[in-house]
Amino acid sequence: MEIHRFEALWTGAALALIVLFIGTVAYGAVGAGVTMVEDDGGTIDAQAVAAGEYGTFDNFREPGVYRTGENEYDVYIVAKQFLFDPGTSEPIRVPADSRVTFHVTSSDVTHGFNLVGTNVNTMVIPGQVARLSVRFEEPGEYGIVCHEYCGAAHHEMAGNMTVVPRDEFEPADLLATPGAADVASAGSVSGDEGTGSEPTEVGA
Amino acid sequence: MLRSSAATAAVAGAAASGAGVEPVTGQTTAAEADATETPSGGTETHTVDMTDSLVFKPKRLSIAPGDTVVWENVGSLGHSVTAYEDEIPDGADYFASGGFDGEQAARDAYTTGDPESGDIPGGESYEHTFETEGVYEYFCIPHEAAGMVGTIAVGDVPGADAGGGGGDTARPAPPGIPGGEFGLVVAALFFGLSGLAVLGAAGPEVRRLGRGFYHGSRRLLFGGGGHEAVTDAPALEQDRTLTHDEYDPTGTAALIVAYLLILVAMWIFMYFVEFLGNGPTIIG
Repeated sequence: MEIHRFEALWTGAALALIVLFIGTVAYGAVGAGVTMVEDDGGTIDAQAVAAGEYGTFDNFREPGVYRTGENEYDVYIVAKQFLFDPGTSEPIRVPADSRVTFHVTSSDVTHGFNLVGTNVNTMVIPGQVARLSVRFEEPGEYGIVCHEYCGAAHHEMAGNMTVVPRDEFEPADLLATPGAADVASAGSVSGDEGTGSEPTEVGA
Repeated sequence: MLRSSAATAAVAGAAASGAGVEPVTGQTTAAEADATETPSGGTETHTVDMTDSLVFKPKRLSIAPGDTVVWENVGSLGHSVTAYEDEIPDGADYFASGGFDGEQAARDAYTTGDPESGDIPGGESYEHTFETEGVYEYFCIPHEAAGMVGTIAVGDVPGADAGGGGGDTARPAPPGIPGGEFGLVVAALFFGLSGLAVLGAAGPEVRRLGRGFYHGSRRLLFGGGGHEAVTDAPALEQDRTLTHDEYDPTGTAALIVAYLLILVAMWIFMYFVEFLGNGPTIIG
């Protein structure tokens, strides 16, 4: 079979494109540090979440914002029909230039959690904790929406999140003040993650 | 036609009433019972349904002072009936399922599935008698955010049915995704590029087609002009032979290159602008 040089040219170009596309995806994971939401948030008893028995979990706490270290914050969110706690009744406040780890779970049915217009996006499944870390560089305001149909008022299920300048962040925004116990427990938690997580975890 | 059908109906009605005497009398007594109840006034009972669609039905209800409203949970989700402390008439009794004295106490106590805390499970009901005239706004604690609010207007209250007030309490709307102008530009670019590529590649063919059309229409219009057309047309004889490698399909190549360029542009846009450039992203 004889292949015309033009044909060889454009077949080669098409193959090069495929290599380029796969290369950019690899760059996104390795260079830009984009990761997927994995199952390292662990499982949880959804009925205990519904009953508010937060003290019984070691991978979830009472909904709110916690400081876990220098420029590091944990946000625990319960999604339920048809609100985010916290988020819907009052905006979640975190300081800018910080690494925020969201722990999101559901007390009833499957919900979604998405900061509008960003890649911060996960499914919220009852019985599981979705854990995702995000770095917020700049102050700003984000809407939170549920994007999994969860019932009659799904379209109303929304909230807000405000990334405030560092000097405007008040201790009142935290559910727990930065105590020694908090920082210590945070240290042990991240230690566990270190042993269990994949090498895709970047900048942890 | 109309007249005759009415007559038929009347006959049928007469037949029915003749045949079934019992139901007719039954209805009459029911109507009489209603008639005796209504005049006593001010102590009527009204029903508001609470449904799984997260609404109070009816949402607005006008009643007389002294009337009682019964809220029935006709669904399976638990609800509460809780008055807005600031949106009931001055001097009126505060009301909330669970018997709380204030809105905050009711909000704090509410727990799904616990009737003591003000939760009204499916099949259960709550009632309250309204004595003071005015407009009462109330809501369901777990579904307030979903717009489950209602209004009771007691007595003659001006504009009670019109406004309703606190119906949809102000909730900050999440910031939207910015405009569609950019999409328009991308679409214009895409179709412009595709158009150019097609023209560039198919140029010679388009010209040849045009020439053929010209001669064809001349022949049709002026008849007998066939000779002229033949002389104008390029000679049909073969003047040289190309081998496989001598023939360069430049038009096809241009089309493919344009197509690949569009692919690359779209990829860059999708991956680097839309995905990586899209604000905060998940990093762990």
